[in-house]
Amino acid sequence: MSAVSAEDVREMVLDALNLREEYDADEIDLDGALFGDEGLGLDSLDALQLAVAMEEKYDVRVDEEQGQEVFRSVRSITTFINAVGA
Amino acid sequence: MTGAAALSGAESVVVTSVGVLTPAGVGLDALLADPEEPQATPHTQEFALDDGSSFSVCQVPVKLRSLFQPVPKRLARLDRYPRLFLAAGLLALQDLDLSSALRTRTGVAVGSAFGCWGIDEVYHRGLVTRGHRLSSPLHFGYTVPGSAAGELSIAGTLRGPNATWVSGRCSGLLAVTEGVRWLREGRCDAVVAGAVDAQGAWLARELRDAGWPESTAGEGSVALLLERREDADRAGRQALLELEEGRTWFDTTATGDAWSVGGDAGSGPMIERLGDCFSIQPLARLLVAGLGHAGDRWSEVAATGACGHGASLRCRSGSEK
Repeated sequence: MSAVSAEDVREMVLDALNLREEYDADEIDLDGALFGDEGLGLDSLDALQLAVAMEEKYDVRVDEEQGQEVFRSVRSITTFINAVGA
Repeated sequence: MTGAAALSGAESVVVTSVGVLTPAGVGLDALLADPEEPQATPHTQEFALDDGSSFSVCQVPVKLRSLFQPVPKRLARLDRYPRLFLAAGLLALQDLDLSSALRTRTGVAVGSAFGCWGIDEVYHRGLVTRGHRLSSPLHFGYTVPGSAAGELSIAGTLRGPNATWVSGRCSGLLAVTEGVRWLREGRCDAVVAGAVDAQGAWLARELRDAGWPESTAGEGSVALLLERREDADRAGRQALLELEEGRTWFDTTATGDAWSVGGDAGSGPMIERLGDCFSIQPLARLLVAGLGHAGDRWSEVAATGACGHGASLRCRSGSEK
């Protein structure tokens, strides 16, 4: 698999979480928090949705114990996809 | 007023606040606007269909963040169907400062011609093509027609009765009629009642296949805050419209959606340009009729859904008669 860009992953996040009605892509900081009060405010259901989208689009699986680190930001998801999917 | 004391069927029910989203824009002003004004042109959206073609429909451009601050971040991910009604409902409730006691006894009644069919198709298509393990957990939560009413109850902390009708074009009239009954029966002290229909690629495809011309179908949402007149007067909330239940019926010989206006409903200025907004259209027409002119004249709107359910509702301007 060729390297995935953070911008590609951001598009996946926008589509998977149905965020396009509220956010433009450039409003989502590639290094910004996805969960918690400071970020997009994602919750455990969103994490599950992201895991499904990652497996479908990039054929990578996220184990439960990896989730907190992988889903920290768009950049960390990108790093994980490129590391596991390489 | 408590429920036990409110069992008189003759009590007047009034509309004290309104939230409206149509392809003409947000708010009543857009609906009542002069269609000759350039900014009053209904918004259209082109949908890419899965066979490579496209089809345009009238759509409501709305970001919740532009209407309400702060908006819980969870709501940014709402499916379009609950999103539109939530926006209309919150518009109807904003600036009213309803007490927590009243919110405890405020119901939500929603009608929709199509309900959540759009997200149903997306979810089940994924289920069939990708299997259970990769079906969408986010979409699954919206595969119930009650999601629009439910999201408003949660966001508005409204703890009265909550119900949804998905019965074609008459659905909004059925929901408002039921809201009027709830108040007259004392089941609650206020009701947010209305209609919502959301467009999507799924419906655009169906409309194209059924031979509809482009941009003649629309979406929208209408939310009316209903109260008994004496309660509204006591709280100092102005009655915009007075409502009267019409008939509800079930006609097994009905062969398709239809709707009509009677009394003094007349034609609205902007409404003619909105396209066919399904369950929204009869309620929007009712608003235009009731708010478009003063006086003691009753207007009536009736509609029959494709399955044979029908309802009619009457209104006149809300000043005390």
